[in-house]
Amino acid sequence: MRLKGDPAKDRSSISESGGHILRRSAAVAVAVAIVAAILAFAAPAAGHAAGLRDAGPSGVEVPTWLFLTTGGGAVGASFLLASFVTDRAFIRSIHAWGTEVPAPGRLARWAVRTIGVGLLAVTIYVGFVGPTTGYRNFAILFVWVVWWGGYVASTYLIGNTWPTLNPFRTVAELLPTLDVNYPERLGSWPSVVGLLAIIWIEVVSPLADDPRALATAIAVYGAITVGGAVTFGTSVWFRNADPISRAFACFGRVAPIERTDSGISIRLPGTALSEGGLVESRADAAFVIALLYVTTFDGFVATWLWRDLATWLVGAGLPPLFVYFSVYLLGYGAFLTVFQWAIGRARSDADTFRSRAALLRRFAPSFLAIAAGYHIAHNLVVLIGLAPSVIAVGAAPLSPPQQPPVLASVPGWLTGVELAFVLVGHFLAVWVAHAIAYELFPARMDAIRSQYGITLVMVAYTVISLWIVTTPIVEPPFLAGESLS
Amino acid sequence: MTRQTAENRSEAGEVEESAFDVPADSEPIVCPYCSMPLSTERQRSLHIGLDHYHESTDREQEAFREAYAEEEKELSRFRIVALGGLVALYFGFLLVYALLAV
Ligand SMILES: [Zn+2]
Repeated sequence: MRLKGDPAKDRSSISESGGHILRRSAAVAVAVAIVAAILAFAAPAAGHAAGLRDAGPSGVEVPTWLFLTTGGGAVGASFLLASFVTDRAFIRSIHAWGTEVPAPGRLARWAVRTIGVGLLAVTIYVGFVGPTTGYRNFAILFVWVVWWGGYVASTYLIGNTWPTLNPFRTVAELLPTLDVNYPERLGSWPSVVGLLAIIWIEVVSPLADDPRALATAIAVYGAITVGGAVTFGTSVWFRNADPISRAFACFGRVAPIERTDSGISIRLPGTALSEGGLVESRADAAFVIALLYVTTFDGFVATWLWRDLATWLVGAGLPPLFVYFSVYLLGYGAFLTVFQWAIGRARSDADTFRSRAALLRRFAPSFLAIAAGYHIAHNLVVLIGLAPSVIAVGAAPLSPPQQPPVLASVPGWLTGVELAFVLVGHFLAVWVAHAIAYELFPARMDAIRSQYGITLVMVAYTVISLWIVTTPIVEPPFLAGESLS
Repeated sequence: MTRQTAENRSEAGEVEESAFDVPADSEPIVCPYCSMPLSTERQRSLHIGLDHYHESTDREQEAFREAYAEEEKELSRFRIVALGGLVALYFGFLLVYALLAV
């Protein structure tokens, strides 16, 4: 309970004068004004980059390097702005703001569970017996557009409902448990391996267009998940081994609504990330980093840079799948190394005896806000563009129209909205890391210094990711099959 | 090569193995109330004032006030640098965009 609870503490003890508070408010006002000004610059740049991507409309085109630098600069500026907020009581009051409402009753929970199981059954059934064309099959549209694009967004924008909706959990809870002891030393590493495996399969297999392959994959995943949950017990399995539950638990921390033991708590978005408890081990931290990494890799394989690199490596005689796999793992290794470096910097810059592991546990969740921002950037346009298809195919899953309708032209400003979410995710991450530093380090200058390395990593990640998001999408080479969009 | 300290518990109250990492050859300043290892006298004064204010002695409270005021000076210097950085960023971008718009 240290550094929490009593917001009047440092003010009462140091007797901050009215002038102090006034200065703080002024600093906040200035901060808001500057963020607005930077956004005003970043927004047209974003719009133009969108224009570039769609080979579209007129206007002054902002060159890519400038667009990327602006994004990186905005993140750097948000660190400088956050450093003006040095009042611990004020920071704490923002993170403590919230209320709690009672949880819904059993009946509502069971209704949601029934819907979850029903949707799963329909998806697998239509996947196996429905049309073989991806864009006409309800299973493909439902999984990739509704679930992956829409539902996942709800876990970080609204709240994580997966523990209730998760059909695999519902099924496993109806079955008797074997209660085999879960090997303690595995920790949550199985979820890390599972996440890397799922995204690997998603990238190299035709899961996005082949309904039969998708239905098979869901059935296999379901068998492993229900089998594991029955063997080790549902709470142990979904906490440590199931990558999807883990991912949603992480995203749920970004959301304003969270299910707690006593009810439903409502807070400001992202503020729950500054609390401990989500990341409790090295493996949990590795999972958060993997979550950030897989989004990047998924986008990266659809860029010209990867096409050229892979073509060159395969031309040199390496098997294509080996090229994909080794770069996949090397990239993850690079992400882990960079995070380790940033934490090492934080440790020495803040002159603290807190261990690297403890710092990693506390700071890793702040990056989840960034991961959420990029999830929107990757999915919003697809979600809206294919929404008419989902409705038309969903209305008659077994005899869908030959050419399901799509939104012919998605409004250009939607790309601007996507990029705004990317920036908001970054600002949130910078703020959360700032708040965590204030909780961990007694000296405020140490707290600011601890953010140098972390901010540098965030700036670099912004530049790389903005490039991936705005660079034209090319078909990943050497993988048969077309993508859905 | 590391030794554990007493304050090794998370918010949940569970004992973690490695909340602190004190190299064997270092001489940390240890908080008299919770045994947290700290690097400097100033860190200790601030830590005691922030976490143990009500149990601390008059002298420690005095040291906290001094450290806090000193910190305030350091922060003011940093704020000037940060403001300079923001102004540089803002006008840097303004200039580049203006040049490109010509
Ligand atoms: Zn103490």
